[in-house]
Amino acid sequence: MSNRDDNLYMRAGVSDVGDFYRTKFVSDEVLDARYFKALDRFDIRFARTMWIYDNVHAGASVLDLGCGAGMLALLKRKGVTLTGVDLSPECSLAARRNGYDFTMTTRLSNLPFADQTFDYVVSLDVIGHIGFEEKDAVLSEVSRVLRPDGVTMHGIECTDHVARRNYDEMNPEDLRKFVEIDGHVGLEEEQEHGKRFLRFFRHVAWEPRYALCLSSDEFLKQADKYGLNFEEDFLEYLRGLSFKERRAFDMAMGYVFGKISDLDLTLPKNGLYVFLKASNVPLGPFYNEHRDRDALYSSDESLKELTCLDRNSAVIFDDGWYEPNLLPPIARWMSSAARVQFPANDLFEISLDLTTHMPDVRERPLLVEFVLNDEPLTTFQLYRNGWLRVNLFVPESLVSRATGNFELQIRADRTWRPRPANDETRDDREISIAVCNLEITNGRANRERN
Amino acid sequence: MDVETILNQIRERVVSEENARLPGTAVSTTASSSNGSASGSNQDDALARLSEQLTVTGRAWNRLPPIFSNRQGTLGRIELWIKNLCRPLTRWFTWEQVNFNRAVHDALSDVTKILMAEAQELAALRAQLSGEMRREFLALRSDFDSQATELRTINDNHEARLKKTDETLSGISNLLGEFADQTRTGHSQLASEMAAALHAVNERLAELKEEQRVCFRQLSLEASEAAVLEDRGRRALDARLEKLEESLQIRKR
Repeated sequence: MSNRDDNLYMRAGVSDVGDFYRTKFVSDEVLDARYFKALDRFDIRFARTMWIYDNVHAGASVLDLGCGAGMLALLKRKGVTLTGVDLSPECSLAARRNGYDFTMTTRLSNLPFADQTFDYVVSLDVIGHIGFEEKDAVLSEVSRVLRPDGVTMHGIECTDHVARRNYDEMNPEDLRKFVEIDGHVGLEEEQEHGKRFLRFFRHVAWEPRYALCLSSDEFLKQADKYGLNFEEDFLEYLRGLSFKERRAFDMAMGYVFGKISDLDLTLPKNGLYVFLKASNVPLGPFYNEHRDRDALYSSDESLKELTCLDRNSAVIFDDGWYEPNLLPPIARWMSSAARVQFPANDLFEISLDLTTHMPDVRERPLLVEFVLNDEPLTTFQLYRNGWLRVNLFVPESLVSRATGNFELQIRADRTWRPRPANDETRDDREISIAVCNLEITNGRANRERN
Repeated sequence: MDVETILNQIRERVVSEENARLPGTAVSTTASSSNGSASGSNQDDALARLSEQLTVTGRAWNRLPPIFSNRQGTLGRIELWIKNLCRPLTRWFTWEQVNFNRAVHDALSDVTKILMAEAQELAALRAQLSGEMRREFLALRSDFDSQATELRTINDNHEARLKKTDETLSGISNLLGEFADQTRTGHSQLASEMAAALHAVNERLAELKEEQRVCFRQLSLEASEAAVLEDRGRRALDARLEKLEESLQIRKR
């Protein structure tokens, strides 16, 4: 690594790093904490987020370095003040849209904050993207803005010098291809990261992760793009999984990942990924230092006075709903059937906006049924693609039998797949309609309105 | 028949022939060659007849009529005798008549020769003229033929051009017809496309309006949620403050 001081981005032909990250990592993903589904805590996609979530105390001030679209937006459930910085203005904007209190576009080696501002400075998948020549400056800035008793936590991509080629061993074309995959220009081994942090913090701890558990897509990416050796029949199996099967696989992987953390098991060094905590004060437990997940689950308290169900933590959207998308507005796509469970003492009307993007809906109208507590409310055929406001009046007899708990089921007679099967995104969701602005009106409110 | 009568007959014939020949000659030079040859033939006949007459005059120019009497018998003889006695007495005026006959005969012979020479010359000139006219005619005919050929070629060319022009005009007419059809079709198609586009735009506008309504609805709901949460937070703070005040008062007591 004699030439580590060279700018690897330049050597790889990336002249505008901000633009590189904008085109690669900006998305319309909805990561707003208000839309987070409790079940997704098991999704391996949120495993790193959950590690930070369980190590941050409620009400703290958190700085997210390289915030991207806002993967740590879930921390808002703990009432933290969440600040994000990123090289790309588009990423900053996306994070702000996803609920960050404050975001800025800046280089990480020159943070525009006063000394000792944050309780936590965290990053996920960022340190591996910082060139060797800039890393120390970044850690120096982290140390500066962190409070004396603050903790810095990082999820860092790693390498294995024995198993993989160093940057100096790559020819320009190989280097270009390697950097183009994810923008990794600062990969080091786990202990190298640890040693680097020790130069800035008195206490450093790290745990190699993702040796056992990877998402189905990550397995394929590591095999196809980085050349990691997995059993071929296993990879073929993963390639054949449907969206729902991949989600089940990822949930299982995430569950095991979480249990490894809960049991405080130490995994062997793997050259893939490391969780690292550092502070100038003695560190607490590596996992679950401030575990408090109450805010993730439904709470009847939160439904009071809030009549919109979309962002309400008391409402459970089952797995028939896909994660929310920014259409705009933010709406949830559903498969052929989906349920919403919500408590309500009195219910007069349910209203919602829905749309479908099915291209042939004019020729073949889509049959949509609404069922409340197993009793049909209404059925109609959707024959156009625009938004439709639906008001469902709830019979008093049904309310009286409901005992305060309701389950609204929506069924569609068919689904479609917007993306072709060979699409690189592997987004093969079978969707029917998208729903938003799901509101309930109780009898009293209706009487007042009238 | 006396000599004077014969000469008068000859003169009248020559004059009449000459009169008849002159217009024929004029006609032959101005009209067709067939008329000319007919005139030449009449002239030759006249000259032949003149030569015959000259043989008569050549034979009779010095002869005097014989002495005769219509009476018979003695009277007749006496008369013949007297006439025979008077015959030498008439010599003085018959002699002059013989001289005159001789002079007329010679003059006519000379005239005949001159006329024959002129006729030959005329025939030669006529032949020459005819030849020249024929040559000129042939040359003119050749010119006419070549000009006719040229004209035919030009005519053919013109006809070809006309045909081509007709074809072009017909093609242009067809094209114009097609263009008119296409224009009509295009116009109707454009009109239908515009109507479809307008319909699509209106539809899209309605969709956008609806989308905007849903977005505003979402914003409105979020705003009301924020207001509720703010109110809830304010009430919680008030409750905490009240608790703090209560605890302070308890401590003061």
